[in-house]
Amino acid sequence: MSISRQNVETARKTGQEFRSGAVPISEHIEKTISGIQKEEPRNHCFVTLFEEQAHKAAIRVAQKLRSKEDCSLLAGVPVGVDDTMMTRGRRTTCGSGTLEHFIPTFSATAVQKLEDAGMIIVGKLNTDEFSMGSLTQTSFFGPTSHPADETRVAGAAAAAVASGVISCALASDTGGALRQASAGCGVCGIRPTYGAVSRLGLAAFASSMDQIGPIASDIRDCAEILNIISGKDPCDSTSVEIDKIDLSRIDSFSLSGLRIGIPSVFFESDTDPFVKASFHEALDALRSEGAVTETFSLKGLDQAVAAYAVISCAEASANLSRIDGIKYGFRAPEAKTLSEVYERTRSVGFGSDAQKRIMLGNYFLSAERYEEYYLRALRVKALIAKGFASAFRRYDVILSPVSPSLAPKKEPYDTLSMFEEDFFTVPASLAGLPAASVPCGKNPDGLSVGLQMIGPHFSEAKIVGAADAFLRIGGGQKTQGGQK
Amino acid sequence: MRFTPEVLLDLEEQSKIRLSDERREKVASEMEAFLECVDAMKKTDTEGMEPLYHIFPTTNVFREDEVTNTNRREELLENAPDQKDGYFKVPVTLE
Repeated sequence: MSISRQNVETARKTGQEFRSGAVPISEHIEKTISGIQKEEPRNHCFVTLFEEQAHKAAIRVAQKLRSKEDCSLLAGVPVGVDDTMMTRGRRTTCGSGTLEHFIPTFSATAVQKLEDAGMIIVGKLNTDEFSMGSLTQTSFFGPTSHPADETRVAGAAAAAVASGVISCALASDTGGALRQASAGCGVCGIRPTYGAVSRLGLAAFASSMDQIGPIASDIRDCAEILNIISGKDPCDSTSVEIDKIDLSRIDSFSLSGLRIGIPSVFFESDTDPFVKASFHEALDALRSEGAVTETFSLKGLDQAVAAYAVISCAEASANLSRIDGIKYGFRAPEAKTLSEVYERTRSVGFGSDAQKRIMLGNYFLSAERYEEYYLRALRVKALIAKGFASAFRRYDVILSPVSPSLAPKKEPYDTLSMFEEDFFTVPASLAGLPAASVPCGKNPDGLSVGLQMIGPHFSEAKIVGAADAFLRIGGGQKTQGGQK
Repeated sequence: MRFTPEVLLDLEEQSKIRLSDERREKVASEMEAFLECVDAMKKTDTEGMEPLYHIFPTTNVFREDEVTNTNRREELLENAPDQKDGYFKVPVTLE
């Protein structure tokens, strides 16, 4: 099956059809769920479907629309949510055997905001165990299949959108999962500025970098969803208020004169030739519209993956200490003492990748190695953040490919190689910067390449404008390395 | 080899994760490879850089000392692997 998005309407158009009464919400939800069920045996995008709850919500939202209650433009639109986000009363597994039967008692703020806006959550999307990975390879429930090639893996939120069963989803992004998933499946995704979206109810992996963002086949849908979920949350002290993106101004965004920086180390990396060619063609397309590109040097960028690896493992080892078999989740049945409960629950419950990361995190945080690894990683992070801040005095956006390779095969992976895939995405994570992934190429086998657009803090509107303008000139429609 | 059997056992103890004997050697060599990759970071000159914990300056956040949460004991206990008389039940705590 090749990826076809011809039949997929934008979430905004679907929302408009509900408001005008042209399409009944219940009917659409029914169609969506049966579409998911049909594709699921092949795609394996969903961990849990909320069939009954979605039908009830459809009736509720339809009633609200009829009574002209204040609803968002996306009211009634079905949406998938990454299974690392809490959904009250509905199973949330975090892709982990430790939480296979876990039913949260509250919803993540981002999830609650979607539902308050009338969007209908049809199910929970497959995820790497506690987000440790990008393309569902570490999920307890097995990997998601790539829409174009069943032998390859994909991020579930992006795969579900690309296969057309839903038009939009919420995903999480720590080191780049949201962006890599989007890139691999040829859809759009935005990792917002750190703090722009509340992390309350997002299972913590590496708290200083975890963020929630939208994935959709249309960048304007991403912006619309971001407008719904962003903002200060009293329950997340790191969250901040941000300006909403004015979609009416996107049409007038001009690429002419846009100052684009490309860190030179990004050209020196070991990147797949097709990815490289697609990236260069994207730059050509932008230049032909009057954008100005320049390479520059950003100190520390070549060590971003190492710094990210240390910081994320350190934070994960602390965050995952809560999985202890006492208050919720799996408890090893044979444990006879409290200490055995902890040890056996975690030895059996966690997958091998999570176990390695926890142990590495404890290694980096140990008294003897704290200075050598953890503090050093935080200094590299400082260097990178400073480098970005100075680069953004000269450039509007910084571009790179999203992933150095095409979607990987379903085969045994190792922790180290997964980190290496994060080469282009972790710098923005470390610096807390917003970054979008937009499609910029597709090879003859239907495997996609993403273009990453990184902007200064709180420049989501500019990134969306640039991404939209790039897509308007056909930047995302190229196949076979150049021909439209 | 930095992940000697002693170091690994110590990490297992800290992490409350017990590796099987068959896995231990493989995990040690994978973690060793990981560490070698991370060690490259030491070449970076970070002279004069203070460790950066938070991207944005953080300040303590105060709120009014008012109770906003409600008693949801029953609901919370529903997820407990074991419970008794409204408490989480655990096996022997002192050996």
